[in-house]
Amino acid sequence: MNIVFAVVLGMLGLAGALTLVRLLLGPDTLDRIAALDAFVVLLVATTAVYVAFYEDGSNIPLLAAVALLGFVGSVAAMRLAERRERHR
Amino acid sequence: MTEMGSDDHRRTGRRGVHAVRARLPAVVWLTLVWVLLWGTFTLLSIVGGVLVAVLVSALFRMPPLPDRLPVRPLPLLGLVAFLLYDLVASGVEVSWQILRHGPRAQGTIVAVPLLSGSDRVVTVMANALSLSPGAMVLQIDHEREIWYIYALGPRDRDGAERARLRAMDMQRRVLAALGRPEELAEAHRRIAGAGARR
Amino acid sequence: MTPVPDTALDVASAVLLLLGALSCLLGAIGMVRLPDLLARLQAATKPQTLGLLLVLAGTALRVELESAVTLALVALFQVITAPVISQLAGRSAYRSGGVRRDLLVVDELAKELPPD
Repeated sequence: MNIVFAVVLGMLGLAGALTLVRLLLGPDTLDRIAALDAFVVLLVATTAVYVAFYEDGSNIPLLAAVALLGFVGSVAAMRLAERRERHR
Repeated sequence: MTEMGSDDHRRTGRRGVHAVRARLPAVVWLTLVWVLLWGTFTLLSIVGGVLVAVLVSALFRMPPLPDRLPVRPLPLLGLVAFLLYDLVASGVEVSWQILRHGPRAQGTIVAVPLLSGSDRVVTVMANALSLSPGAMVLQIDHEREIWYIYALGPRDRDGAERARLRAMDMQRRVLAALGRPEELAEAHRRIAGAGARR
Repeated sequence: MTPVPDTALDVASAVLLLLGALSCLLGAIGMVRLPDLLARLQAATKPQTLGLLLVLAGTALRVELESAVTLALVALFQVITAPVISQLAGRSAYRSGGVRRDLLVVDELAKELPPD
């Protein structure tokens, strides 16, 4: 089982790194926001893997909070980007 | 005068009952989320959930909904099952496009007739369409009753037509669960017509 | 407590976690490889959502029931919110030029919103 967790965390880490590449490359503001949103999803997934590893559910409310905040943040950022686009 | 006054009073009373009934689904839904969040099905968590839900729905009033939707439980269950299947198919298909075509992946934007006039049904449809393989809603033209839908994957006109039919079919499924009967009949007619033209 | 032997649960959980992480990774590869914003939004939502759901399912098998219920709630949030994100972004993406028109087989929106 330890090998499984190592592989899973490795894949999620690589995925996070690739998402950060898109975050840095852009080119569009929307690209960066989408990348950030995907990164938050990966963060939630990684936290879930830690919960699975320690078989301890006490961090799960944290997971729910991060997922919700990520959504609210992305929506707010997108609306802002949209408004700025219109003013240009 | 007094008659009018009592009539007025009765009307506000009825409106009050109506307002409570209109808020009931929100209260039930918020309570459910609260209880799930605590993860314990105790009396305390349920009562607390109801209190919080009533408070939240009283503080943040939603505009009243104009229409009542006919909810058909069995097709609704079918819709949920289909969406779950679609979610898996979606992940697999987009992954396949990424691996197979990568930087040369193509897409299409098609105009699809909007098959419902109810804002709530359209909202459910938009979310359902955005879960289906490679697709998402770009724009809704309410006046001309047209969706503009993007789909990742199609590489020729036939593929674009398939994406269009798939969007029609998803709308039919949502209407079967939540739509008015005449809208559902209209959807059946137009899908049959689109199939015959091919 | 459970009639299912622990090893069977372990195997099921491991398979779900591996498939979920793989799906997330494929989505991330898509974020880098795909040619335009609309396509990348698909990669950011579809395989990511599927991946997260699989990981959550794999995790749910390894914690007590009460925690698993909250995990189901997280999964529900994700399924409801992912389409909202892609729609919000898609709406402005077309107008802000995040679309490679040469990669579209058919573009029936071009008539309505001519490129600037």
